[in-house]
Amino acid sequence: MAAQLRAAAARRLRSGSRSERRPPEPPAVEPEKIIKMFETYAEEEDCLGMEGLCGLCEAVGIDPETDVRLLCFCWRVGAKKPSMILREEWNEGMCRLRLDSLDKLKKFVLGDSCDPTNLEQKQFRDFFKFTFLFSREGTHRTIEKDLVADLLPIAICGRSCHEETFLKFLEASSTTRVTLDQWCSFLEFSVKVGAAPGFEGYEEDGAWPLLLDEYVEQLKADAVP
Amino acid sequence: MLVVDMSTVPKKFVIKPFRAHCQMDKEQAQNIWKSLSSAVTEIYNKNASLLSFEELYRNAYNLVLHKHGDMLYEGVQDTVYTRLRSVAEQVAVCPDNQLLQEVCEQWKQHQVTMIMVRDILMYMDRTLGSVSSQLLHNQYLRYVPQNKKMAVYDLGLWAFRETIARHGQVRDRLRKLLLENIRDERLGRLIDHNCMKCALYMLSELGIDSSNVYEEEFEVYFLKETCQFYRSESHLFLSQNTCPDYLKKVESRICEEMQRVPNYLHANTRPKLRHIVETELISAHTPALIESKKSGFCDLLRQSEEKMADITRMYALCFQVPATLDLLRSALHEHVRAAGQLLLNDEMKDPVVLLRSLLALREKYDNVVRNAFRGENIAQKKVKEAFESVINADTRCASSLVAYIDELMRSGLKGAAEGEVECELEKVIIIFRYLHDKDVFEVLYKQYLAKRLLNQRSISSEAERQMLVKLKRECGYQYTTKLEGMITDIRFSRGAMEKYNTHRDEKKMNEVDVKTARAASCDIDVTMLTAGYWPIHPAIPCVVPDVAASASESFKNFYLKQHTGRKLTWLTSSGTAELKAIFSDVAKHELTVSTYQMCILILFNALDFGEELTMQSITDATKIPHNDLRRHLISLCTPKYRILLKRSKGKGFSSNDKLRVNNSFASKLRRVRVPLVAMKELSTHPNSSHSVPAAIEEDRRHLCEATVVRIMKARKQAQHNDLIAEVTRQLSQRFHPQPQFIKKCIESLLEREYLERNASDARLYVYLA
Repeated sequence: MAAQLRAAAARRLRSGSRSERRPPEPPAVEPEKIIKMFETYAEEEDCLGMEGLCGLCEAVGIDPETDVRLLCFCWRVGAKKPSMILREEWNEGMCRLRLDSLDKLKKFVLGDSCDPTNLEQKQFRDFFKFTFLFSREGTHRTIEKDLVADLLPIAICGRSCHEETFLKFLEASSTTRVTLDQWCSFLEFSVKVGAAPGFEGYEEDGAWPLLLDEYVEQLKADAVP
Repeated sequence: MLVVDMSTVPKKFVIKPFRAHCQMDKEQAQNIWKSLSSAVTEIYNKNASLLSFEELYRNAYNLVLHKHGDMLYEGVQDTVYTRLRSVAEQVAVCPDNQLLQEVCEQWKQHQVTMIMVRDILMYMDRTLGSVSSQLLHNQYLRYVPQNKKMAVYDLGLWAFRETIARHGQVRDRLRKLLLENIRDERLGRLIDHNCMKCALYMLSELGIDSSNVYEEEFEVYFLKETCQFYRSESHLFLSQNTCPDYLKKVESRICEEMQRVPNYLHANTRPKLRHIVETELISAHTPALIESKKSGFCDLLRQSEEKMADITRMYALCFQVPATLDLLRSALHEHVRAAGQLLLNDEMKDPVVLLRSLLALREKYDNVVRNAFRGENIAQKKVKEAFESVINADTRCASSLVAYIDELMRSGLKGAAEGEVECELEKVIIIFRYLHDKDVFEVLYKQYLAKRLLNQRSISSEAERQMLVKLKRECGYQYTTKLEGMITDIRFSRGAMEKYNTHRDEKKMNEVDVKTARAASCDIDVTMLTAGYWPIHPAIPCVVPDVAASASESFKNFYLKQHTGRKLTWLTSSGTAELKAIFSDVAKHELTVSTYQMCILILFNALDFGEELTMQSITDATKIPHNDLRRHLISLCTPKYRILLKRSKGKGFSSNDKLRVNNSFASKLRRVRVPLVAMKELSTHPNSSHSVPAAIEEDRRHLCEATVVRIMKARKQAQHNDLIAEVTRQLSQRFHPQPQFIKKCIESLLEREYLERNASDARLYVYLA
């Protein structure tokens, strides 16, 4: 919406006149097309589940298992429940994003809008949190660590120097599940604290989750010859 | 006689100019000077008595008056210098052994002479010279005009200094002699104090207004030598003697040096001397004194009863040098900690013995602090810290303390007067205060108290109550509500029993039916326990014999009539029964057995002589749980109390074992109390572990989470560190939580969405309503 307003204002400026010429209408979004698209891919009445999303990905041309852009798309659309997009969410989101055809969708997904590397920190934080929430199983509040091992490299988009070391640590540790707090804190941690084994910027009373404290402790101990 | 009334005479003062005196010419002046000069010489020759003070003074006065003051001054100066130079020659050739006396002599003489000269020339001084330092204390002369000459007396001092004291042949030798004397005195020889004093005071006076001469000529060297002397002496002495002896030596040396000051040293030297002595004798050696194997501080502590005087001395000496005192305190702390640790390393110690030794240890070091360390707060704190660290490193201590209190309550406080009881309990509380994990203590104490109360083992209920009062004072009333509830239960039970017995007696009187009377003839003594307070968990009651059942029913009905709405459950797992057992005509005994055992034994009444019961049939009839059954049965089959005989050999039971009454049971006593064999879990030697029982861990987690929520609810938001600190503070009465533990609780609450982190500051927690 904002983009269109800007465009209209720019046009007005260019034309320079104060005439009451109405700005040209932006191309209308056809809700029927959006609904139709939903029904093409959705395997259930009201929601686009994993199967449907896989189909969508195939149509767009990305790999649903490894491509972060799927997650980014779901985030942009505004999915709230894990592993699915509801009909209402789809309708509202696609309308908002003005994607009423497969081509537009393709352009959107394959373009910059779904590339998380361009997101600034605050937005990325939000996206990162979303990836966790979206990847849960049903009503669970936590994610199994195997899934985390797969998800983290995709979701973090290279923004963390701790990616490898942490995953290795997680594999060996006794924790079985990861909580939302731990997930989000990992991102903050990656931003604030330097790489192992120095861990510059790490403070013991920095209110990091115990898991991260253990991670630092373990790696520091390992580093000592 | 003419009386003049001055009030009427007009006063008129007329100031007339001085009548011009005749000028004194140079020659006259010279003559006067000559006479003065020879007078001075006479004074030097100790012939002062031949002179007239008045005349000399007048002469000098006149000279100055007639403006010949300068000449006079210079003349005097010359005379003094000349005289002193010749004296110097004399002194210089003096051999060493007489030098000191000679110098002193000359100095004394010089002083006397110069005073006389000064008196004579006082007018000159006042006019020409700057005011002598000796007169400065006269307030009217405080204003000193500039560019004046030195006063005569000071002139004399200056001269003496230049000619004699700093004479090449005198200066160094004098100093050497002074230092040698001091050295000799230190080594035990006697020296002439007067001479020393005279010489040293001379040096200080020669500085005129400052103490430069004294310091430069003597003090600097003296201090250096003192330093070296004591450095080597202390090293030598310490290497050859024990520490207490060294300390005694130090004490005497310090005394000696301080005495030296009033004896002949200048007062200013005192602090410097003290500092050097303290450094060389005390500071330099304190670490060695603490560690030394030759009755060093640590050794002394170990034998503190005998060596209290030595420890006191050491403290008193270190007290003068605060830095060493800190070392001493740390050593004390370490020592106490190590001693405590040693006690606890002995795994085999019986808990009561362990605690008694801990108390003894505490007593011992308390004495040390009180006597040797003058009861100072810092030392007390150090000892307390040492004990805390020892006691909390080992979970045996909590259980030992409980066992010790148990022993006191059962037998230790027997016959003790009230004051003694108070004293003992106070000691116990002191150890209790050291404990961090007070909740572990509470659980154990409850168990032991329950046993004591139910078996009526406490000697004095007053003592029990006193203990609870003390615990309440330490930890708050919540800590002791349950314990107090237990004691109250016992008291109420007694009351209830009395009521029941009166009621039953009445009933008996009114009862005509013999059968009912006999059924109610089994006596019963009931203890009512409020469920929440006691650490006993009700299980399903077993099947009791009819006699007992009817008696308990009767009581139950009576009680429920009095207190409606309550639910009663019989605890057959506890309790005792007294059975009259007739084994044969001669063997009649009264057996005191447990409730379960009563149920088992009564079963045999229905059998014929020699008939047997199987385990299974016993279980079916009584419904006693399997493990309890085994334990209670084994107790009836032990060699000492073989009331029943079993088929299988050895200690164990097989599933199809058969039991019968032992008709040849014999005991010397008429009343036999059958003890229960101990189970491993009830052993009074808990393993020394560092982990807390799981149930208590669970309790702690709940408590911690509740505390966090409560704090957050009140504050709405809190910083991580503040939250941890506040939680620790609030929980400290029960146990000392680790920060990691609290963190875990916080994370759990984060997950359950009681709290959340602030978006911009990850360290800030926000309460979610």
